[in-house]
Amino acid sequence: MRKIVFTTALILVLLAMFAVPNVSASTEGSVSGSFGISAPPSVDSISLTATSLTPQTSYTINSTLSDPDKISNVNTAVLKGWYDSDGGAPTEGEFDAVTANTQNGVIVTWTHTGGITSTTVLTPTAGGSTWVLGAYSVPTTLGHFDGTSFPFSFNITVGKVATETSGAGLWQWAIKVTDATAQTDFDKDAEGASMNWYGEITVPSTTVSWGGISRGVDFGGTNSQKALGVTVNYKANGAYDEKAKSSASWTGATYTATLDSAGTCDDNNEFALKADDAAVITAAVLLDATGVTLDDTGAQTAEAGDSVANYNYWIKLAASFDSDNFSGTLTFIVANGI
Amino acid sequence: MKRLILLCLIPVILCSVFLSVPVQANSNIAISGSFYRQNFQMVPGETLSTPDVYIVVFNHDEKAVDIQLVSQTPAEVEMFFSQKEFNIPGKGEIRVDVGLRISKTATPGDFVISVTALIKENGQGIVVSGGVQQQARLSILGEAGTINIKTCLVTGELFQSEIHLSRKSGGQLSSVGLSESGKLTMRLTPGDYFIQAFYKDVEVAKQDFSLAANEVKEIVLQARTIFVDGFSVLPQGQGEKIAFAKINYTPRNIYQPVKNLKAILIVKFNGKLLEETEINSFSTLDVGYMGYNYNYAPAQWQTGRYDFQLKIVSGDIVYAQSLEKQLEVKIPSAINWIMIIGIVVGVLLAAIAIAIAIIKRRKGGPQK
Repeated sequence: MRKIVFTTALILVLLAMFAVPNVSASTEGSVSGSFGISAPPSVDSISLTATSLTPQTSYTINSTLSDPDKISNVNTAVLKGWYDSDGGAPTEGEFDAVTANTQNGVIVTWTHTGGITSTTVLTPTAGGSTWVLGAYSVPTTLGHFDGTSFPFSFNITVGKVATETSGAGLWQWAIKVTDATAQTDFDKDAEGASMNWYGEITVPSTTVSWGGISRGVDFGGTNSQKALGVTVNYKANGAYDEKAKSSASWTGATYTATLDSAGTCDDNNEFALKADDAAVITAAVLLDATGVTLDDTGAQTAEAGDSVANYNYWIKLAASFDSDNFSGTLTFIVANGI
Repeated sequence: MKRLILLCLIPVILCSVFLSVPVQANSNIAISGSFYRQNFQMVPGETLSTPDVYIVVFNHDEKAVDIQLVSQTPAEVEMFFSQKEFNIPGKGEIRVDVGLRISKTATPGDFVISVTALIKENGQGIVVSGGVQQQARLSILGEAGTINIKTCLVTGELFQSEIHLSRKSGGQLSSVGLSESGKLTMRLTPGDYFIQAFYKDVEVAKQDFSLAANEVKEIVLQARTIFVDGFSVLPQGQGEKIAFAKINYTPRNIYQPVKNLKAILIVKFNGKLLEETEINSFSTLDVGYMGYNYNYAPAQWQTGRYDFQLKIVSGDIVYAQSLEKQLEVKIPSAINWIMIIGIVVGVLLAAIAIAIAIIKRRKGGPQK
């Protein structure tokens, strides 16, 4: 009987030892989730000072990244800038969904390739991209990689067709850092930035000659029509208007011809002009010396732009018009839609 | 003879508007900037002149171009530029500030105004060229209020910051004023506004305000010249146990040395203040920045959320404060599954041992 009691008591004592909680564990804590042998990396800060961006202008984004296991433990740092139509604070989910394209997203990827070597690449590069990565500061020395934090900076020239913002829309800027154990951290620039409208026009070198035309010729009269003969290219990151104008006067060796923007040409040496982007005289617009709209439906273009190849002019001359060889200017204009 | 006369008359009765010309360069120019974004709202007699309203003209051609700016405005409105005619080298760009002056006798109304950059062509013949334009809306209103703004240090002294004043409209900001003296007085149309104050390109203060017709408003912006950068909280320990939180911070002073400052760490647990601890002191905080760290551990870590914030103070004056950083802490359960399984196994072993003993006793007969 004693043996039975002893055996049972021994087992119960052992059970009691198992059942007592681990005191040291109860007085210490652990971070839920990711805390383990490798500490997670951290985005300490990211900032873009400018709150209004202009395409084809460069800006610097600064971001301090840290990792208690040293910067050498960081695998990648991915900086993204993207068009966010509804603004607000960007989420990590939005960040992850961003892909590089000339209109709506730019990505700079820093990759630690081993030792003290790394690569820094900007995308998009396809589609005639005009986004450019300028000077940048990334870890390059043993000292940098042995440290626990590093102030990264990237100088970026904004592409020509980066979407113009309006209303609540913003260009958001954020960075995500990933370490060797795939732990990540994400943070964003607090304010984002607006993007200004950008418009570009390319007009190949050319002149317009009507040759010989009769005094008093009206729009649509003999030889009054002249095709421009070259293609005009428009690029814009938002809505744009095509406009045209003439210089207020054309100067000859002896005489000066005056533009009549009313189109009546009642006075001596007056002329008037109409223009259309599809060679249709009934749709043609009477030009003035400040610029009239030929088409107000232009929308954001690709980097290649929109080309218009069929511009035509029609001229009208006063009945009294002195013969001369005239010099003047016809101008095509790109303007923001309003 | 008749044929000769006819040939001579042709040039007389015809007007040639063409002359052979030298080869012109392509026109490849572009425009951007903030001018178009402004929804100008001004009152008669008001002048707007700020570098925040500008255009940028780009020359994407290889050759330099001469540019002339031309404005379109209603009568009694003058548009002026920091430069009106200029040369842009190949692949270059020029930024031009744009201002507006409304005459005292201007008639209220809504208008579209524009600035156009034209290439100055000097070729012979009718040359075709390119131009770029920005258009903006202008409203001339009849009513106005007055705003007096000044920027002060936390100690109350006037601070010579650069004040940028913008009107808020439709989610967008339109610049309406600028001062580099730390003070700004303007007549403004009624509406909502936003002020930012900068010192050496660093934002030191900002504030929203609304202004009503005939209202006179005084605003004092308190400028921050000391900042807490790089504030981070990193858990440290071994295995799954947290030993302490490593607090990293970098005080940055942008203006002038400040004496007798302290760094105070404020810790909350589950939203309630846990402690305020002085973790550093600076007999003089010089201009510039320097990183520090501090290892924090409470008397006892508990499961829950810890909020951390750092303030730089001198007495009751708060010079700077960081954003709050959170740390979620989870204490491991005191009884775990291994322990429970051990207990079950132990009980079973005990039961088996008792059963074996009873069986042996019965087989062995009564003990002596």
